[in-house]
Amino acid sequence: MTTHRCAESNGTVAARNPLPPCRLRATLGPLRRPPRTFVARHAGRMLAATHLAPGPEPPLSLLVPAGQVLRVVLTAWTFATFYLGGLMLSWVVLPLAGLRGGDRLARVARAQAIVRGAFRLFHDGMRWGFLLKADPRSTRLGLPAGPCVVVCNHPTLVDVTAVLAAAPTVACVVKGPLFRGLLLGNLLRHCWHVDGGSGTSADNARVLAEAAERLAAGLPVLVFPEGTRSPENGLHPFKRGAFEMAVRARVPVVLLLARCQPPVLAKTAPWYRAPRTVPFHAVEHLNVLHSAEFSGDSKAMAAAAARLYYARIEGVPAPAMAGLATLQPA
Amino acid sequence: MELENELKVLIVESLALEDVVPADIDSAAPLFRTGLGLDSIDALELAMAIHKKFGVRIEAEDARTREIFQSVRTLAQHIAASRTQPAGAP
Repeated sequence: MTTHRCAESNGTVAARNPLPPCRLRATLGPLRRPPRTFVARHAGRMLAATHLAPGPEPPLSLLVPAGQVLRVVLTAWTFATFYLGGLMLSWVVLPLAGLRGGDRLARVARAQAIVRGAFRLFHDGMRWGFLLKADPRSTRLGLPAGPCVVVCNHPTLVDVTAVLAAAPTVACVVKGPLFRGLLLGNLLRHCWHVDGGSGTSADNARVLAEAAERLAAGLPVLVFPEGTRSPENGLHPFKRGAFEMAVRARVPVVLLLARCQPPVLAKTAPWYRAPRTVPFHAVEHLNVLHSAEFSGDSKAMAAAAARLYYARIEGVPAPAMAGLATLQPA
Repeated sequence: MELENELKVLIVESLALEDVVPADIDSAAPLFRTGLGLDSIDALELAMAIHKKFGVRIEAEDARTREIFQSVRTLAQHIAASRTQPAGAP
């Protein structure tokens, strides 16, 4: 209860200081809520809102739903601009930019610079529309110079754009259907991202090989090791591929932590379920793991990474750890 | 049977399973998720180790890969079948 009040009243403080302790605690909750009906879900939230956030809330009961409705409309509009922008970049801007020539890395860097600018604008738009408090320009990912594997949890849809808007030229492992789609496929190929395939052995071997190629070219490789969006306030078990890439190429793994409170655009929540308050989204540097310290054991490395994430999402039981924890008792 | 035991040793050695001895592995138990709890990277390494030791390449595109990697028994059956076929050819 107190944690919720704290989160509400700290809105402006949190925007300046991304990590007040109470906001971290506010991200806690049941790991996976049982599915509830639409009505029950909303009734629960209204109840929570009236009971848990009395403090600074003005008694303008009509403005809150009005704001929510407006945000749903703006969210739809944002989706539309994202896909329209993606189409333009895929089929017009990036092919034209590619005509300017240069070696592969120069062309990739140019394409990614354009896309980075577009993603920054996208986040600006969301910030101006009070959809999301997140500024990729002020995000510091703390990536080392030279190749590394970058790993991030994935609570919302916009983690990818937030990281890519803040990162230098990177190769991101993207899920297969998106990579082969007409909408963003061209864009992803111009940026030299990696087609994550469909999970067959052949695809996995190819992903490892392509990642090794990007690392050898000096690019960081970004992977969301859960393979999909995270469950609310939790993590899916980490797949080992990202850590295997790092071990094979003998490069460090940089762990990034993405947080969103209240959660939006999660896998389980439909996009039109606008939260009552403007969500606060942040991506921050969590830690660095050096592959040498794990003597080539990518399983132990994945387990260590999961432990570090769970240490930060404090108090949340770690079911995903059950399988991994037995692999490395230390 | 002999081949199954060889495979178990190969699995433990090539995947460096510390808390498992070959005798622990049930020939019929699933290798992935439940059972031994191997993952996709283990599958890649195991396929490479099998190719090195038995000269049998398990084509990753093979639609039967999932069935072949079901358990030690199915793996042994596949290796036995693949080894006898090309042996007569050259």
